[in-house]
Amino acid sequence: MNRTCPPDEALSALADDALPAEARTEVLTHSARCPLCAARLAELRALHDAFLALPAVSLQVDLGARVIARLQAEAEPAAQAPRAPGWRARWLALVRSLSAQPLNLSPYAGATAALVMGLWLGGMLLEVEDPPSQPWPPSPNVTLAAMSLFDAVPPGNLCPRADACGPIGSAQ
Amino acid sequence: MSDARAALDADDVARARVGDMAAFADLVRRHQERVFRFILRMLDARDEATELTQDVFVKAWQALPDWRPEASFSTWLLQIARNAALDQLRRRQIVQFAPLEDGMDVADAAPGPEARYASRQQQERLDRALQRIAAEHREILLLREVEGLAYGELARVLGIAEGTVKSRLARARAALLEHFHPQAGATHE
Ligand SMILES: [Zn+2]
Repeated sequence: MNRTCPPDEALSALADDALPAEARTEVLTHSARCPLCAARLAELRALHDAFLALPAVSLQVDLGARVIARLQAEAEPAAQAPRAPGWRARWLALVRSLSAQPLNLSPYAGATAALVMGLWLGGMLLEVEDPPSQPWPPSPNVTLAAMSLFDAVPPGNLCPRADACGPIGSAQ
Repeated sequence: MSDARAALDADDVARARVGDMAAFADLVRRHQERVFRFILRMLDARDEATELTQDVFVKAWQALPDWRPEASFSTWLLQIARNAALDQLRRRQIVQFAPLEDGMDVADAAPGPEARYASRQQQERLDRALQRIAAEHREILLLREVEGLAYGELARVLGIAEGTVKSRLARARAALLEHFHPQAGATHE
């Protein structure tokens, strides 16, 4: 690369079409007569094409139903023993087996299942003799309190543990 | 993302925030493929990526009260996904550059004449090369080149300044190009 060549950063931004008009013209003009920069630019553009050509990946699972089943299951207060464990267990097994199906069900099937599930669970809670200690439907906060999957670390935070939090050096 | 889709998201988020799980399920379905695609290429492990994608949505449900309309829901999700993927890599203790032996490239074994074959070869080499660069470089390349995030969105997802986005992208591309040499004509079938 020559002394007059634009920095790699400028070529990279040009490939992204992210340079201001004036800088863009400058870099393009330079590249038109500099084989080094022209080659680099071509390489960056070919890289972009290669990314676009990556094969599509697909989940092939209806995560909507799965996630809701998980939220529902984890929202159940652990301390509160179910009055009809047989029913509940059977129902959860049914939901899990349904949600484990690949997404060749109607797209509405999952939503319907989730709705039915919500009504059913809601009704069940109302039937419990002890008044439920949580409002229904549960707010995300209530659900949060009942879950132990994640630390109480807000999104955007990279701390592996809550007590390990600090400015993230690697982000800069 | 289209405005219509963003409006749909905002509507579903509003309903989900007051506990409407059906609305949240709609959000999950609308965004699951994008989150999965990103995580899969970050982790290079399908089952792990499927699990983690679920975790991301559970975490998103928990964090819904924190969502602000300034960020598109999609970008916000990618931010959670990105953090989850890095955490997972950290658990694997390979978040830092994990050098592989040179010569592991798929290419040059028995290059066939067909463009289709060359294309698949190139895809495999790119996938392989992506796993050889630092996670910090892999994530920004995936978010830019595959997910098409603008510089401002990259800054938000990665928690860095826009100027840093520009320089990190350039470094990431340089790093990738050390392991991967795109061939003109091999990218299209
Ligand atoms: Zn030059």
